[in-house]
Amino acid sequence: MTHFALPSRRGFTLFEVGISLVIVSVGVLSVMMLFPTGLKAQQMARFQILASAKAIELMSVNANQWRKWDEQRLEGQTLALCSINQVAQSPLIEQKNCNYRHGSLPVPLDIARRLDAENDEIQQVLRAGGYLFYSSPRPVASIDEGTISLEDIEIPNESQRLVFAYVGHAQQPALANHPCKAWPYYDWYPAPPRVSSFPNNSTPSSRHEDSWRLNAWPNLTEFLAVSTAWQTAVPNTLPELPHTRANVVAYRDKAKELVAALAMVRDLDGIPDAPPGNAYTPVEPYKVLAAGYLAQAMVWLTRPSLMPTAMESTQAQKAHEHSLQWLHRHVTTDPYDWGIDRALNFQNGWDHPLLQYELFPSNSPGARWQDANIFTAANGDISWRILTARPVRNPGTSTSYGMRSVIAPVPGPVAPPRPSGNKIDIEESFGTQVVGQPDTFNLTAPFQPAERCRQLVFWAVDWKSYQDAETAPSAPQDASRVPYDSDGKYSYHNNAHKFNNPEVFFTWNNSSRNGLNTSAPDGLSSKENYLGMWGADRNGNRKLDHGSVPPSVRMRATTIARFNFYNPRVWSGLRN
Amino acid sequence: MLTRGFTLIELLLAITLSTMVIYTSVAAFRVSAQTITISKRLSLENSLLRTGFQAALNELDYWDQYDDRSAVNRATNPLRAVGKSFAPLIYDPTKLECDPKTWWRGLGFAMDTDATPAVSATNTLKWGNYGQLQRAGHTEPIRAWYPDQIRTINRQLGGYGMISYLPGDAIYCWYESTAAPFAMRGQPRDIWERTASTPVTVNGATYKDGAFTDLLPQKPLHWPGLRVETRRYVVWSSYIDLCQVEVRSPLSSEALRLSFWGVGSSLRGARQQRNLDQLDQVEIR
Repeated sequence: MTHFALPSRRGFTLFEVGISLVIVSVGVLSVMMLFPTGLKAQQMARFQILASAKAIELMSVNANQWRKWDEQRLEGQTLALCSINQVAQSPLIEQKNCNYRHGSLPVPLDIARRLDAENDEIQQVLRAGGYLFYSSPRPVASIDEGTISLEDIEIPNESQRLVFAYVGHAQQPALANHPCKAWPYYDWYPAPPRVSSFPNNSTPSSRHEDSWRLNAWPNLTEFLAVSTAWQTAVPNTLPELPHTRANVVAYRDKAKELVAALAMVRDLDGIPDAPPGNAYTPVEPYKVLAAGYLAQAMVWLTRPSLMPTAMESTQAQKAHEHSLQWLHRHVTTDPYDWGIDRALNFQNGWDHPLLQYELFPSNSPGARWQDANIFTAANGDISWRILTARPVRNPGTSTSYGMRSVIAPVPGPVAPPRPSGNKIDIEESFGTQVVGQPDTFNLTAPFQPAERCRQLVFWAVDWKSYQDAETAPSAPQDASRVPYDSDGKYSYHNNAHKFNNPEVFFTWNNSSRNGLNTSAPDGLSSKENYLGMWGADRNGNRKLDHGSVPPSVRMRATTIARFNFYNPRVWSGLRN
Repeated sequence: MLTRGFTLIELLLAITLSTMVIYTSVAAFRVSAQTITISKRLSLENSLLRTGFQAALNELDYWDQYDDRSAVNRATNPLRAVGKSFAPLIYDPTKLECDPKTWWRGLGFAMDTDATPAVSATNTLKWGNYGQLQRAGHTEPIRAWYPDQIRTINRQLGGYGMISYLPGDAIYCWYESTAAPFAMRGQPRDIWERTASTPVTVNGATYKDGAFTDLLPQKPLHWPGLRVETRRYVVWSSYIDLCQVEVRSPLSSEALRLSFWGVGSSLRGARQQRNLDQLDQVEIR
C-alpha cells in the first residue's frame, strides 16, 4: 500500500476566523451607522424647511407697518421719566418681533447660557446683550387675544426645537417719537378751536390754545375771541342747545377778524387766498388754524336750518378749499413744525420727523458716549438728549402734560396745574448739536447696504427637554417695555403687545404653576407674575411639563440655516 | 489520515462568536430597517412639506386659490362677481396727494354722525352742508373724484379691494348724491379704524374661512394628504397672509402642519396678473 502524501487540508485557525468575524462585524456596523446619518440628514432637511418658513415670517412681520403702535405711545413729563417706547418701539427687528403676538419669544437666559453652538455663536450673542429666541407656540396673525382665537392653527412640534438669533451689530435706531411728546398728533381739518368745552369731542382739549400761548403766536386776543365765539355757539350743555344763526355768524366774523389780524391776504369777503409761494414754501401753523376756523364756520352756515344764502354757499366752498390748501402746504413741507396736529385727512410720510438719541457729543471725533451731553431730571434720572434732522419749530407742550393738566403724584396731594405744561422739559430735551453735523445726527447720512445687513441664524436644539424648561424665569426685559415711568406711576396700555414681558400670555400666574395669564398683569399686584418669575408654558399645551435633562447638562445646538437681511433704522412698511 | 475535529472549547467559542455575530447583525438589521423606515417617512413628509411650502409661496404670489387662473371659464370664478375682490374694475389710478381732486372734503371733526340712522341723517347737516363740498356725482370733477372712486371701488371689489386700492391715507366715508339730502356713507374712518379688531377678508367671509387647495385630490387612500390653506385679511391696518401647509397621515389621521405668515403679491398685483383693471385715465407726470 502506497502512502500518498495528501495535500494539506488545514482550515482556518480559530484566530483567523475570529479576526475575519471582527472585520466583517466592523464593516457591517459601519454601514449600519450610516443609516442614522441619513436620518439626521432628513431631520436637518425638516428643520431647514421650518427655518425657511420662520425666516419668511419674521421678515414679513418686520416689513409690516404696525400702526397700532402709533396708538399706544406714551409720554413722559421729562426726558428721562418715561423710557417706554424708546426701545420697545424701535424698528430693530429683535424688538419689533419680540412680543407675544409676533412670533419671537426670548429663551430664558438660564437655559440659553447652557447651549453651545459652533464658534460659540449663541454665547457671543448673549454676551453682546442679545437674546436667543424661540418660536411662539401661537401663530403670528396680529389678532387680539380674547377677540379672536387662532387655536385651530397649529405650530409643528419640530419648530419648538428651533432657536434663532440675530447676529451682527444692531444699529442705533430712530426714535419712534419724542419721549415727552408722542408726535405726531392727529386731528381732522378744518376744525374749530380745540377747547375743553366742545361736546362729543374726545380729542384732548386746549391744544390750539396751548400752542398759541406757549409758542408765542401773534394775535392771541383775536384767537381767544374766536374760541369764545365758538363756545358760545356750541355751549357745553347736554342736551345740546340748538345752534343759532346769530351765534354762528358771530363765530364766523371773529374768525375773519383773526385772519385779518394775521395779515393773511384775503378777498373782499375776508376769505384768505391760497398760501403764497410754491409747494415747498412753509406756512405758519397758526394761519392754517385761522383759515380752518373760517372755513368751518362758513360751512356751518350752510346748514339748512340756519337759512344760508346762495352767496354763503359759494363762500363756504371757497373758504373750505383754501383752508385745505393751507393745510396741505403745512403737512407736506416741514415735519419739524409741531405747532398744530397733523391732518388725519392728509396723512403722509412728513408726519414722522426723524429723531435719534445724541449718543456722542457734537462735533467731537473720538468722543466716548460717556462724554455725551446727558440730561438729568430732578429726580436723578438721566437720559441722552434728542437730535433732529432740523430744528423743531413750535414744540409746545404735550397732550399728557398740557397747560391745564394736573399732575398728581401717587400717593400725595394733587399738584397745581402747570402753567406751561412740559414745554420747558421738551425744550431742554434737545441736544447741543449743530444742525447738519453728520457726526452726531446720522439718520440721513449716506450708507452702504452692507452696513445695515445682519444675519438671522437658526439652530436646532431640544432645549425644551430640560427639567426647568417651563419653570425657568422669563428672560429679563429692558425697562423700556415696562409701562411705568421712573417715578413708579402706573401708566396705560398695559395690554399693548409691544410692552410687557413678551411671554406674558404663556407665563404661569402663580407659584403652583397651574394657571396662565389671560390678561397682562399690572405689575403692581405681583411683580413675580409680571416678570415671569414662575416660568411659562413654553410649548403652549397649557400644562406644566418637566423634561428629563437636568440643568447641569449642556446641550449642543446644531446650526440649521443662515439668512442675510436688511435691518432698517427707521420705521418703514411694505404697504399702507 | 489525520481526522482531528474541533475541540469542545473551539466549538463553544465558534458557536458563541457566531451567535454574537448573528445577533449583532440581526439587531443592526432591525435598527437599520427601522431607520430606513423612519428616514423614508421623514423623507416623504419633507417632500410633501416642501412641496406644500413651495405651493404656499406660489399662492402668495399668484392668488390662484382665490381666483383660479387655470379655470376654463374664469369669468365664472366666485370672486369675479360684482362686489368681490376679482371683479373687473375701471378706475382712475391717480394716487398723488398733491392733486387736489384726491383730497377728502368731508366732515371729520365732529364724530357724532354715526348714532342711530335717524339721528345720523339729521346730524349729517348739523355742521353744514358738506355734501356741496364733495359728493358722488358732483358736477365739478374736483368734488366728485374722491367719492366716485371710493364708491366705485367699494361696490365693485368690496372692503378688501377698497382698502387695497385706495391710498394709505384714505378716509372711508363719502356723501351720496342719490339720497336726500346728502347721506353720508359710513363713519369717517381711516384704515386703522376701518380694520380695528375686525379683519377685513378677501372673500368677505370670516378670517377663518380662507381658501385652500388639495394638492393630491386623486391620491390613493393609503397615501398621505397634502393641503395648503391661505388666509388673507387686513386687521389693525396690517395685511396678513397666513399660510398653512397640512400633511395628514392616512393611518392615524394625524396632521403635520406648517403655518407661517408671508408676503407676496398684493390684491392689486394679483389683479394685474389677470388684466382685470382698466384705467380710465393715465396720468404722466
